[in-house]
Formats: sequence, C-alpha cells, structure tokens
Amino acid sequence: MKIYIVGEDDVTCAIIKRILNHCSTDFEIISELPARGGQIKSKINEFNKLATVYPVVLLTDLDATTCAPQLLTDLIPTGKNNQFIFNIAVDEGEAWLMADRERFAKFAGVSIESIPLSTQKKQGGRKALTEMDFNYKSSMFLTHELIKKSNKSELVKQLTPKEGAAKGPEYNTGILPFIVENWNIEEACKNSDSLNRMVNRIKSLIA
Amino acid sequence: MIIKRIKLHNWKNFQSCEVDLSERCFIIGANAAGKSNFIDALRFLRDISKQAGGLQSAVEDRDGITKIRCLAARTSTNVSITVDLGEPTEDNLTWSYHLDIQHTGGGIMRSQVKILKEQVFSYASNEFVCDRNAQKEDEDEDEETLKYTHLEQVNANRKFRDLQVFFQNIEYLNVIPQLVRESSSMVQSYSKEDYYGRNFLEKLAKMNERIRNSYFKKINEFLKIAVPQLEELRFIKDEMGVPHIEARFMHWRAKGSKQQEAQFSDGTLRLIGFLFALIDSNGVILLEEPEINLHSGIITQLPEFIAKIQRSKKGAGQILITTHSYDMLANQGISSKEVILLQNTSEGTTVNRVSDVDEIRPIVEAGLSIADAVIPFTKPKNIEKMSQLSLEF
Repeated sequence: MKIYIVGEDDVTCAIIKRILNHCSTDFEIISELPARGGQIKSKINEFNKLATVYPVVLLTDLDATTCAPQLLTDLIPTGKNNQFIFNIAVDEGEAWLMADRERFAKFAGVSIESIPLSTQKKQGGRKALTEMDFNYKSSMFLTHELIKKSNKSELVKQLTPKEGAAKGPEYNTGILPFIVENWNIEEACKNSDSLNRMVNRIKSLIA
Repeated sequence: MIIKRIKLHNWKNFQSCEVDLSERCFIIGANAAGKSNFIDALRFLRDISKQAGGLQSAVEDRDGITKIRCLAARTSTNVSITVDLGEPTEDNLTWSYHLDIQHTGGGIMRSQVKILKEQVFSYASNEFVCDRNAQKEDEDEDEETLKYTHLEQVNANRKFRDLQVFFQNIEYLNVIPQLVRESSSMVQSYSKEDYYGRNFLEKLAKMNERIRNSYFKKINEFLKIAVPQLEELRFIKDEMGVPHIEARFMHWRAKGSKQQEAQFSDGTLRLIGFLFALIDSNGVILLEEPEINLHSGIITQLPEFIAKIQRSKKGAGQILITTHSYDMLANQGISSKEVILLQNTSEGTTVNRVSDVDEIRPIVEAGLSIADAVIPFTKPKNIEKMSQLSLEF
C-alpha cells in the first residue's frame, strides 16, 4: 500500500516507519512530508485533502494546553478524511519510546526505576487513559534529567544539550538506533494508550 | 522564441526522455540525478553553433562520444537530441531541430563522430529546410561532410540562420566567485566562456558604455536592498587598463571605502553576475544552482524576480534553473508544470514534469508548495542513516 507519512522531525518519522513495519511489510512510503518539520499544524488541511488520493499517516506531539481530540477538531473544522490517519503522541514521541521502560533503560544506561511509571489520567474525555507520567515534557525529561544518570558516556555526549540549544548536538544519531533496533512496540503500548491507538489505526488501515 | 520541448536519446544519464519546457523551468533531482547533464544537452547545441565551435569540438570538449553516450544504452550506439522551438504564448511551433550522431574512426584513425541524421523543420514553410541522412544516397555527402553539421556552417544554414543564432545565444551561468577574483590564475576550463566568472569583467569592458551604465544603475538599485552596505557599484579600468568593478563599502567613516571585486564577498559576486546576465541576455539562460552563497531571504525572492524580468521587455526569454533550494521552490507562484523532476533508475534517468507525476501532483493540488512536494521525494531514501555511519578509521 502506497502512503505518505507526515512527521515533525527525524525521530517522529522514524517512529512512524517503525510502527508501520510493526503492523505490516506491505507499506511503501511515497515520501515524508513536509520538507521541513514544524509546519505540520499549519498545513493540516492540505494533508487532509491529500489523503483523498493516498493514505496519509501523520504523527504530531500533543500541545501542553489542549487535549488530543480537541486538537483535532481545532485543526480540521471540516472533518477528517477516512484515509487521513491522524495520531497524537501523548505527550511526545519520546514518551512512547520511554514507555518501553525496560529496553529504554538498558539502552540509555540507567536503572529502570529512573523512568517513571505510567498512570491513568483523564484527558478531558470520559474515560481515564493510561499514559507515561512525566513532570514536564518527555523530551526535556530525557535530555535534562534522565541522561545525567546514564553510564554510557558516548550517549551522554550525544544527547546533552549545549548551552543555548534545545537538544543535544547528535540527538537524532543517539536516539534513532533505539527506535530501529530496540524499541518493543507491544511493551510500550501497555504504558501508552495513545500509542496503542495509533497501532490500531494502522492495523485497521490495512484491513 | 523558447525551447518548447526537448527529446534526448542516449545523452549521458538519459537513455530516452522527452519533456515539455516552459519559459521558466526549475530542474530538480537528487545529487547525481543528471541536472547538469540535462542542461548540458542545450550547451552542446550552443557549442556546435557558436563561433569557432562545431560538432567535433563540442564532442571533444566532452571527452568524446563514449563519455556522452548513456551507460544504460546497451545495443543502441547513436546519440540524438531533438528540440522543438516556438513562441511561449502560442501552441504552434516555429522550428524543430534533430541531430543524430554516432562514433566513427578509432584504432589508428582519429576518433570522431559522424552525423546519422540532421534535420531542420520549418513550420513557417511547412518543410524540411535541412534533411540529411547518412543512409540515403546523396552525391553531396561523403564521410567527411558528415562530420560537420549544417548548423555550424553559414553557407548551409542560410535557411535557418535564426535557429543558429538562437542556439548561439544560449548562456550557461554558473558564476564562480573565485574566477572573477583571479580570472588569470585558474586552470583553463574546457570551454572558456562557460564559467561565467572568467570573462565577466572582460565582457563588461567590451560593452557599450551607455548600456553598461544603465545596467549598473539597475543593479545598484537591487544591491541597495540586498547588500545595503555596498554603494555606487561601477565599472572602472585601472592604470594598466585592466577592468574592475568597484563599489563603496560603507562603514564608520562617512564616505566608506572603495573596494574592488577581489574584496567582494562570494555572495555579492554571484548576485552581481546573475543580475547582469538576467538583464543582459535575451535568449535562453541556464542557471546552475543560484542558491549557492546567497542568503535564503534573497533566494525566496528569486522566482518572482525572474518572472518579473521575463515579463519586462528586456531580459531572458527562457530560464532553466537547476536547484536544490527549499526557499526557492516554496514560492507558491511556481506551477507544477514549470518543475522538471529527474529520477534515477537502473535504465538511466527519467525526466517528467511534476504535473505529470501521479505521486507528487496530488500534494501540490492539496495546496502544499512545490518544495514540500518534491524535496522529500527527491531526497535519498535512507538519508537519516548518514548519521549512523561509524567514523572509526
């Protein structure tokens, strides 16, 4: 099946690709849109329109202020096309990675206790949902707190931001191998309903 | 007159391709997809038609026919180029030129090329004004005459002189700042006028003074906006009669200080070169990656600036631009019909207008810019693995 994928950055795109691979070997990615990340929300209606031709699988991060379903209706007031698979990571792709606590701890060279547990939280909907429980943005937690405990000096150098930078100088280089080689999506799903939903959406896209 | 359509057979990367061109074309593709080779086909026609040019030297300049012939060609040994010319606003064509060549000689004989076919069709008189065919019995032709095109011979091209002049005026523009600065010290490139920098100053020196001044006036207006610290750009000759361009570099002194091309920044020199050529030329301009050395803010303005120049009376009739630039292609005024996409395959490079590519057209139709549609499409599939390469030596 030919599809377009839309991700905010390299890590998000890698997560989408890994999830697609996890669900089926049948996907052929036409291209990764847009050419520059960070413009996803402003172009959401265009992606929705594009999905009438080939399926579009999009993954974006949840803004701190809004809940997931609200974000969607805000962004596409006209209604979502069936082939537009819109996914929101709560709160970010990094949280989904760390949701596979055991493997991520091993990868990062930290004890499993350093990674928080998931909790059931109400996101405004009726049902409480299971998500990882970080005090602040999960990527911030990773680069500012977790990595300091790491015993892998190479990874520490890659992920620790220099002063004035948001991410480490080789952030993608450091994280991508985990997504490709180590990340166990089924394990991670147990700690993240938003991830679980994305997997189910992809599965129903093939069906 | 512009080139409406080009057809290549066994030309470098292109085993066989055919594509429509418009007044302004953006040629895009991954690295080594063949963007430069594509426009080289037009330079080849220019090299045949120019003074002191000709078919044999055009082929020699490219290191012989074996370097030109497509690697994917297999059994087919000939190389051919066909171009259809016409007015940009009309559907009708004016001329078609077809050239089909093949290797000859070798061994103890000199390696050369011979013409299999050369045809010129005039749509005005609805006939072939030149129709040469090596297969045909013709008492005017022998092995020697078939080494020269009629295009390059003034006696033979009388009926299609327009065409020769048109090809002659094709201008390849790849301003290399280093060459402007040190035009004498660089190793000679295979065809002298090719790299614009080399004879840029010489060319200025030869111009009519009034025209030159009027061009400089325009360029100054543009520079005032793009490079505000440079003022009063002008042409001068030093005591030895060597031509220079000079400008006032404004700083804390009230009058600034004078600088010559050797002190200009790479970006400034490229900008001046482009502007000059865009204003000066009235034929086809081949522009190689204009984004190099220039600020993205200037690049975003280029597509509209080029459109404006083309609309004005003075200026290029047709511009073909090779580019990788997001900023340039993000301009929403660029039509998917103006963008030529080159894609590598094992059977050579394919050439298509973006409007004809089923997987990209919908992206543009959904409202995303050409840049968003084509740049992800042309980037190498696993480019993110670049950061995973081991750097242990």
